[in-house]
Amino acid sequence: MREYYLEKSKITPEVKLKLGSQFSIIGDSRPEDVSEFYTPIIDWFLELNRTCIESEEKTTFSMVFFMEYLNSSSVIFLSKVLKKIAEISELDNVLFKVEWKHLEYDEDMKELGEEFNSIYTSLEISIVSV
Amino acid sequence: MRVINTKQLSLSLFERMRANNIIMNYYGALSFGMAQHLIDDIYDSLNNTSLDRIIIKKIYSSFIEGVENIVKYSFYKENNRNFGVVNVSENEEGNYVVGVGNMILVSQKENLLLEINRLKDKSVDELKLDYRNFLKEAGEKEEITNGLGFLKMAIDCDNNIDFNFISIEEGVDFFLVEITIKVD
Repeated sequence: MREYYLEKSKITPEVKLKLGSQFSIIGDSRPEDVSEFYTPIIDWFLELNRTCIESEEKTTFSMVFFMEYLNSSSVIFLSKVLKKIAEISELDNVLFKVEWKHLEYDEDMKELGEEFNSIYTSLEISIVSV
Repeated sequence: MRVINTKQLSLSLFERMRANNIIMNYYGALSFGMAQHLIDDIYDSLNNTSLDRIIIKKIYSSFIEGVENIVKYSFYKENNRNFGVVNVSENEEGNYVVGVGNMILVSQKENLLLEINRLKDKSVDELKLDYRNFLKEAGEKEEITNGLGFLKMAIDCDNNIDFNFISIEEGVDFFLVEITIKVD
């Protein structure tokens, strides 16, 4: 699978999706076209799902989310990303660990992580204050 | 309508805004680029206050949602541009008010009212439950659903959110949203 990398900007997070490394989405998210930004990320996880099904090999993935500000459209798409990750984690041969980091003062991001944790129960989402 | 005396207008606006503790006010065309400048400006202004970071984030977040709504969802344009007004002020009680307004077609009013009525008279806990359900549905559905922006704004301000439709001309209303964030 090809690596997917996007550099961080003022209004978009850094995205690192590479097999063999920890996946991550870090930064603020309020792009002009949210669908255009997140659709390739969703597609990458769809492809990962297909790859895991075909390989049947036992694999562990880990992912970090560390966001400070998300506009509401980004929150919607992040939910779609997490849905795809949850589907992968439900495969018998996959263990998918997710870390949801937030700044210590940021109750808003902490609560969002907790919301996602309560929605996507098949995922192990650790909420980490930094 | 033409302004005959621009000096008087500028002074009047300056005095009124100063008297009303307006931290920032913008009237004009709102492109995505312009919105980013305003967002950066309010971020800097708020970080130069002694406000708690959680409060700053709530004001900032409401501002962004409001401005982005005008940029993305203005159906009424003048000379092909979205026009709107956005401001942030501190009221007499020391609370912060984010005001966002733009012109809409009266035919758009029904859809807006549907979203607004979902928030009416609800407690913050009820709104948070709606938020969770919205996120769950959003993850499952292919299509993009609207309404999360107003819901988030309502949660951030403990549902101190006021919606107004004011008739401007035949078939056109001025839609004004005011969010009051309490500073404890």
